Amino acid sequence: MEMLCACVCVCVCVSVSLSLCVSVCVCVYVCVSVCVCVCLCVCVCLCMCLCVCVSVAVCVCVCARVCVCVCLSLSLSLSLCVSVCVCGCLCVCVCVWVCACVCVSLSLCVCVSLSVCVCACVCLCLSLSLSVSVCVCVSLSLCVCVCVGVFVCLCLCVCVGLSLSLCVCVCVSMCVCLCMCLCLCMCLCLCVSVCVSVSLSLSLSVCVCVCVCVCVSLSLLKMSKRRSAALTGAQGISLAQKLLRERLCHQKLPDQPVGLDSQYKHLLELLRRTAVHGESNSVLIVGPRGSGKTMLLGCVLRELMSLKEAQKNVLLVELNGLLQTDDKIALKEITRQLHLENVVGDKVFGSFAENLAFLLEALKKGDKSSSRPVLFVLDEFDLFAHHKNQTLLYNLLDVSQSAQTPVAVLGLTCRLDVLELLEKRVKSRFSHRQIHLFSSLSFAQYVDAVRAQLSLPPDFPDPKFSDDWNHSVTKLCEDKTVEEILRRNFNGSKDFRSLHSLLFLAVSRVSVSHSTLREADLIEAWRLISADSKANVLHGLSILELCLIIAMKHLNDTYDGEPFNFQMVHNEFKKFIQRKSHSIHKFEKPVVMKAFEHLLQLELVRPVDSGVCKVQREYQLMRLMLEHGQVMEALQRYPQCPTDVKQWALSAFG
Amino acid sequence: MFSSSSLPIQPLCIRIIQPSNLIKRMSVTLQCPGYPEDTLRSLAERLPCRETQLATLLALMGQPDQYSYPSVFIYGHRATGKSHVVLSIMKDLELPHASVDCVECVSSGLLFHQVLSAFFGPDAAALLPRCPSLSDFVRLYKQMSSNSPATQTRYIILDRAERMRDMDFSLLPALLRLQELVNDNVTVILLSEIVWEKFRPNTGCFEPLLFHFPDYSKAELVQILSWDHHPSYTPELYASYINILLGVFFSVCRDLRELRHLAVLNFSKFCEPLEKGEAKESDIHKLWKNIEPHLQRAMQTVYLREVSSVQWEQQQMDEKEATTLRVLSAHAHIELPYYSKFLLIAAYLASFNPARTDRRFFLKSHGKIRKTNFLKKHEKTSNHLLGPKPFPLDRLMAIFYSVVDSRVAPTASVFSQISSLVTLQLLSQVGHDDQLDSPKYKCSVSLDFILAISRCVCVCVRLLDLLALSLVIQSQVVRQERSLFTAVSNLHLL
Repeated sequence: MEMLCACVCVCVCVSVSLSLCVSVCVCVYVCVSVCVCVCLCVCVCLCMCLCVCVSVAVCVCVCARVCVCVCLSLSLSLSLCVSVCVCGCLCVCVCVWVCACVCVSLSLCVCVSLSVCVCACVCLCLSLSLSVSVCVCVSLSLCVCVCVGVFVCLCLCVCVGLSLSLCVCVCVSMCVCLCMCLCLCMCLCLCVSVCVSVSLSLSLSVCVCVCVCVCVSLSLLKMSKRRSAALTGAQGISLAQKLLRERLCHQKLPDQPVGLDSQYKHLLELLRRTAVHGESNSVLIVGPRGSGKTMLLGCVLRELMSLKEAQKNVLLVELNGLLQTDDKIALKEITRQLHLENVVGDKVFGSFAENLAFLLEALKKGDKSSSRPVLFVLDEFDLFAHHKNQTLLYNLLDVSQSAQTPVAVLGLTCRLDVLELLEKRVKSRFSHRQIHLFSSLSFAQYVDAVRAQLSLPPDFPDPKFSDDWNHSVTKLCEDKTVEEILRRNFNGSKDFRSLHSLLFLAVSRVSVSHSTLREADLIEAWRLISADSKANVLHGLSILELCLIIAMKHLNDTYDGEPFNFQMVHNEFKKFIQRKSHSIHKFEKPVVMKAFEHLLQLELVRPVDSGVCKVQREYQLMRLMLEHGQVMEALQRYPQCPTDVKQWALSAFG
Repeated sequence: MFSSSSLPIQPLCIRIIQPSNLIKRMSVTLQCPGYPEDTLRSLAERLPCRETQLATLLALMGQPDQYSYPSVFIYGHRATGKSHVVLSIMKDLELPHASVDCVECVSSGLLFHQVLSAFFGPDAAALLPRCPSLSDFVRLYKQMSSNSPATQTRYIILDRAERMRDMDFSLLPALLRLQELVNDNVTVILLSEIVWEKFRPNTGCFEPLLFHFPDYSKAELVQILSWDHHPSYTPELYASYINILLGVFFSVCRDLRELRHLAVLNFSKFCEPLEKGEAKESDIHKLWKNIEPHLQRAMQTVYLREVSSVQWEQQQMDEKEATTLRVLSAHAHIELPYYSKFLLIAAYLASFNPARTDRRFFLKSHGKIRKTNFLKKHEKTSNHLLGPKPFPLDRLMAIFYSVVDSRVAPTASVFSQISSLVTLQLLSQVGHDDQLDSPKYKCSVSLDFILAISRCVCVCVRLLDLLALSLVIQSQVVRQERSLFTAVSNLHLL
């Protein structure tokens, strides 16, 4: 009994140990196979990575197939490991493995050959393009030599014929055949690793080759670029002018609005609430002309559209009071900008009432959460208030008040009293949010802004030119006369638009002969800007017309600004001719009349009421549109003005 | 006619501009990268005396691919070369431009049509709806320019821009900021004679760049006018002729176009003594004496457009045959019926005399003359300065009866003559036409006209002539009224 027990025990022990052994074996095998798999995978991955991207698709396919095979074999071996003997398993595994290896090597070879071909093609193309673009024989030859040399050196390790065929790159098929042969041999020899290494080395060589090519081409390109960086003066000026003109004329949006930070934040917050949270709103941006209303809005919208949730969501409708001169046109434009033409079909050109009803229905159907928010931008808001019954404003503000589709109505206007223009029912629907833009710049900030407007950015292609330019701008801003000019302009208006026109005139005067902005340019620009246009016109009048103006001036002085007619002027003129004149001679009345009519045409003289047509021309009442000082100044500037005329103008009473 | 002692010019001071001087002036080189140099040179040669304007304008425009200022306003007197310079630049440098004369555009639709067809071809313009609004124009422009973005700055040139003020109120402000509205490289150039201040709308608008074309100085006018000299005479002779012409006309007219017209018209007269062999080219004084009165006459007729240039030439031909001077005034040729003339004279007297004076002037026994406060203060300023006053029909008829020498029955023919005078616009009816019982009229002819009529009525009207003259004097110098009244009453007693 004890023997039996011992026997059983031993049996059990043996069986346990055997099973343990088997399990250990299996474990080891599994480990080894996993390791090999991982290695293989890593190798394959490496190969894949190094291969040229053209053959990626093929590689992925192959990789997937290999993976599936390996996985299958693994699962198979695992399931069979208990019951089936290790040898059979090993055999199967080896078979599978060999199959996989062959497959991998084949595919790899194909990939490599393809990639090599492509690489050669790319090389040739690159060298060709380089040769065309650079046109420097030395560099071309150098490049080609380097390419070919490196390539040949690396490829000689594997096969001379292969490298030769690659270099010549005549027939793709021959290359493929060679590759196949090579791969078969390798498979037979079961040197998968060699194959892998070969492919690795090949791909490496290809990569190195490509890299070298790219490097060479890049360096060559850089060289040519550096040559272009040393621009000639004319090119530098034209580039700088192009940049500055875009800034000064085209009103390109600045990166950040100057001096309007609080308004910027306020407006952005309001719009974000509509765009993101779906809150309806209405706001007016009020500021004098040229104070940057449109610029502010542009910056805010740019920022808003960069938000991810607003980018695709927000609908923007831009209207301008100058263009949409009545509600019907405005409504058509809204439907067009909301891309509702397709929905409405031919009804875009239907009646006003239909359009409005449709639009309102569309806007009211939505709700706060699901509808896309709509931003209505109304430029020249005050002009919309002149539309009949203010229908458009009423409806837009009404929608913005009721919690329907989120709508933001943004009005831009230069009229401070714009709220007075609104009807009561419209006004009560407006949120009474107003953003006022009044420039609070000090003069020092203003000068800084001038410097910023004029200086070239750091990414200007010619650093030397931009340095010189910026230096001259800095020096210019410190100049006394320039400062005086800027101060006068600043005292006239703080807005940037008048500044832009001044700077534009100065910048446009820069030419090849003087490549930096000089003080004289700004002075000349100021002279052009500040010229009195009426004085200019007076300068071109004939002596007779000037005499008539003086006569009118005297009439104005005597009768204290009462209107006059031609007969009175002629009478005054005749008195002057009779009494005082030595140089001016008598003219026939029609000739004087013609001169008078010329003044009328120039609108230096204006009829008091043009409605009365029955009055004869001579007796029509007129007013002089010139100041006393303007006449006297014009007289001083008039070329070769006769002395007696001057005397007459200076005398107190005719 | 001017007396020869008070001559405005002296022929000795005629200055002849040397041709070398001209060449030196023209050879100002323009530096403008981006444009072909030889074209610029030929452009500068074709635009004499506008070199600085040309250079400034080119600098403002910049290179063709650069942005230019959204709107430029160019002003200057008539015929100072505004549109000529701008259009020459556009045509010679082959820049994309649309040139529109605002006089031609009775509606803004025509303007849009011209602009679109100049930039994008007639197909684009055909897409405009029938009565295009600004909104349609901007939309279509945007659509077209997105298809073919501007590689060069596009220019819209609006000549005689003052007419745009009469069009749609938003047209001008919108065009001034068109670059911003269509987001394209486009510049609007406005040309006008009137200063910018007259354009600015109530609530302001985008301010364009102002650019002035100054008038030509006298020397420049001589230089330009000397260009079209006659081939069979020397340039020096023509220059001296131009100097004489300017001596007469320069104080009245500085319009190059008008002066040129006058110069061409009168040159044959100037050359007459040369052709006849009476004078040599160097004999400038003689030539001047010949032409000067002729030019004075031209100022009264051709300059005022009272005769056409064809008529003027015709008359020159006549003068050659029968060297007689003729008055060329147009308004001396109106023929009126006998009573109509008297009616017109009566209307004139009624319009320009206060009603209170009628008693003194037209009654034989007008009673005592009170010296003091005869004329009220507001009556003292002459009607000849303030214009005609309306008068009722009765007063007209009363004066008419008193001035006509024979008795006239108040028949329908007399009244119908009044209405025909109204239709001729020699009289004008004041107030509404439906006032049948006491219509009021105003005389709307000048004193010269009345004098011309009264001269040709009859002997008795010499009296009226005097009367009218005395009335003029009376109205101008109130102080001398007493002596005048006696003179007038004496006349009536005759």
